[in-house]
Amino acid sequence: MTSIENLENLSFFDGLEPADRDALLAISERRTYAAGDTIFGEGDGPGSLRVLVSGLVSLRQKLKGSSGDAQMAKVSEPGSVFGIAALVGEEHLYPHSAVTLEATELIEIEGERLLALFEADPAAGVRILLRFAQYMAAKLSSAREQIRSRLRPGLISHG
Amino acid sequence: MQTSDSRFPDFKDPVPSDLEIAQDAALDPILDVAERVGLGPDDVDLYGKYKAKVHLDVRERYADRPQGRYIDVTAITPTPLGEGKTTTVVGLSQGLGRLGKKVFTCIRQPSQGPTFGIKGGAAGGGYSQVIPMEDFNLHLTGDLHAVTAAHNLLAAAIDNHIHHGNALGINPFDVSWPRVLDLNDRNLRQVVIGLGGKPNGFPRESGFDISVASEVMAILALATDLRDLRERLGRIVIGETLKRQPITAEDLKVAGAMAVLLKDAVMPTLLQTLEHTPALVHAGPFANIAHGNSSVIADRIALQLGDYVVTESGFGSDIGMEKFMDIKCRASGLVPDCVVIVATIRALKMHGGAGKVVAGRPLPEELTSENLEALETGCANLAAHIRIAKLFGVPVVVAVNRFTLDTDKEVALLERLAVEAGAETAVMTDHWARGGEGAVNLAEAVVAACEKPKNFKFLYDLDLPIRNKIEIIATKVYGAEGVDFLGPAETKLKRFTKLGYDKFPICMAKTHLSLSHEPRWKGVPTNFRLPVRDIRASVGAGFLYPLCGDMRTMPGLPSSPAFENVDLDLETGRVIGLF
Repeated sequence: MTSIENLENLSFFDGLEPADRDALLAISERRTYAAGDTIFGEGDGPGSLRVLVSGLVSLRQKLKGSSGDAQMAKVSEPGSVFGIAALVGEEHLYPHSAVTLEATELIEIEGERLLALFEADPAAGVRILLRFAQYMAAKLSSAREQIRSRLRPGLISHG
Repeated sequence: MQTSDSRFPDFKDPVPSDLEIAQDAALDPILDVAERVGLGPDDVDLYGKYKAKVHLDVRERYADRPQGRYIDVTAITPTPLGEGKTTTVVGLSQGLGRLGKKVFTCIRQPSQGPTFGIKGGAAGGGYSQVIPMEDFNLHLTGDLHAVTAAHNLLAAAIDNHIHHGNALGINPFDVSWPRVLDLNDRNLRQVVIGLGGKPNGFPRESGFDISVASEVMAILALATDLRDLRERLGRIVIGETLKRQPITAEDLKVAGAMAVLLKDAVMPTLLQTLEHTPALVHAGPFANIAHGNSSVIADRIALQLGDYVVTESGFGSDIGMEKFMDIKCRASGLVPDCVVIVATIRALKMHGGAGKVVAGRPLPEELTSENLEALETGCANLAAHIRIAKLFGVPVVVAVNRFTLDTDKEVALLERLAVEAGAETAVMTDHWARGGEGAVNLAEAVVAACEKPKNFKFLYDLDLPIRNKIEIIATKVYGAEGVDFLGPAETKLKRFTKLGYDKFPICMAKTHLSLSHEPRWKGVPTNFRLPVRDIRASVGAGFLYPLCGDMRTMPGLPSSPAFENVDLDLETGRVIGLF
């Protein structure tokens, strides 16, 4: 079990009821990584849900295209949640890799233990999943804004 | 030119043009300037009465002297007009001089591209200039021409080698070494060379960059001495063989001749400010497409001879200052004592959405009348630059470069918000109109900041993979959410790692007009991803440069270029209309 110390400022936990937060922390582990460590690889699984306490993590996805390989990287900052595929992804495999860019501390919750928590306390499960849904909605909104800004007239290069 | 009796200019109101001030200035003989910093006639090579090259061995002579304080001047995200960074560098130096400090100014030699294009010269402005200004902005002591010659000698060596049998097996379609010219000329961006049949060489596509973007210029700026310069020139990679092995300047047996062409350029040029403090001019600008910092050699000499050394890094802290810290300071081993961020109220109001600055057009009324709301919104950009500078653990002072139309309320608001954002202090400075006298407050603030504790650190570890280093710069400095490595960039990541170039620092090529890659996104852009469309290697200089968005390494000229106003007064032989 990890302690609650310094977690109040993490937005994901901040939106949870204290009892639910305690329940999550009871099944979590706090882990540290050095800069450049690979937390998991693309296609790895099954895995854990992770909350970034401190540091920077790059979430990378390879893309195949007619002009060759490309790679997208989204960088997560403290408070971010990643590895949600551990709960809901296809065969619970990660669609991207996760690499630390600097010394990083994470809270890790194994997907199976989380599902077990939901089964044992369905009401808590609904509340926690609602929090996930809020978090994901905010991320989708951010992604929508990025797409919209890229589609502004003149911002697409055809050259 | 007059001979100086008075130490300081006679300030006029209204302030005359930069050229008038510079041409009216009373210059000290450069040997007198040299003598005041402990250099004798045998330590310099004279280029006329007011310019001299400083020998590199003076550093050893003063090796026991404690190093001076090292100050880097950077800026907020600028408008296309610039925010007076060089003017502030010179004004601050003159201000430190007024405090009785032994100060050096270390700045870059301007490129003729901007001098005859949009921006004009780069000697400073008003009563804060380096003189003689015409020489400074044009040929000076020929360093830029030497860089151009050395670069083009290597280009000629490549084509000559291919023409005479190509014993090294250079892939003519994979030569990454263009030619250079120190002018803005868009028509030369892409050319076909070798036309006209076999006697004229092997026809292939090539192009021209502006000379200051040359890797030779980057090498000149980063070399620590003549030996280091020679070795770096030899390591320049110009392309690959048909079997995909890198080809170097050493392989082509041309690096020695290149070094010969640069043997004088490797020495910084000593000039003076309008208040007769010494200025070392060396290397070139363009921090958006190069690293754009003055030379390690000049800074080291100045630090050995002076108590305070004021240098500048090009454009905003996201561009030149980040490279100053992560590239130049790594090469030199030097650590800055203070960062000065130059801010103007007009630029911050623009970042607050109040109007658009277009070079060659008058400023819109929104930017010339009091607008506290826009200024407060735009100060987010200043706060971002303070945050960036503090990533390196160095105290930050904000210099508010005052313009005539700025109001007292606007200046007070900016000073308050700068301190709230983490600056040690923010100081209004009027060096443009009052020279060193107008910058004494800033000089005192910088002296105080230099005594503050610092915890200098680089932004990233060189041992990290290339991709990680780029992502760290993109997210921690630019505020990007992530990075998209497009096709060629992804391929180069793998290739450069295989070739062992992955331990180099990163020299991002990005627009200077926004914290992001898109020049139209002002203020503090959020919710964006940085596209890296290609990555190139400057193996001699020792860095990789990712290309973010559309970056051009040969600028074009505007519809009304600055050269249209430039001429000679045929009666006096003086230059007119340089500004």
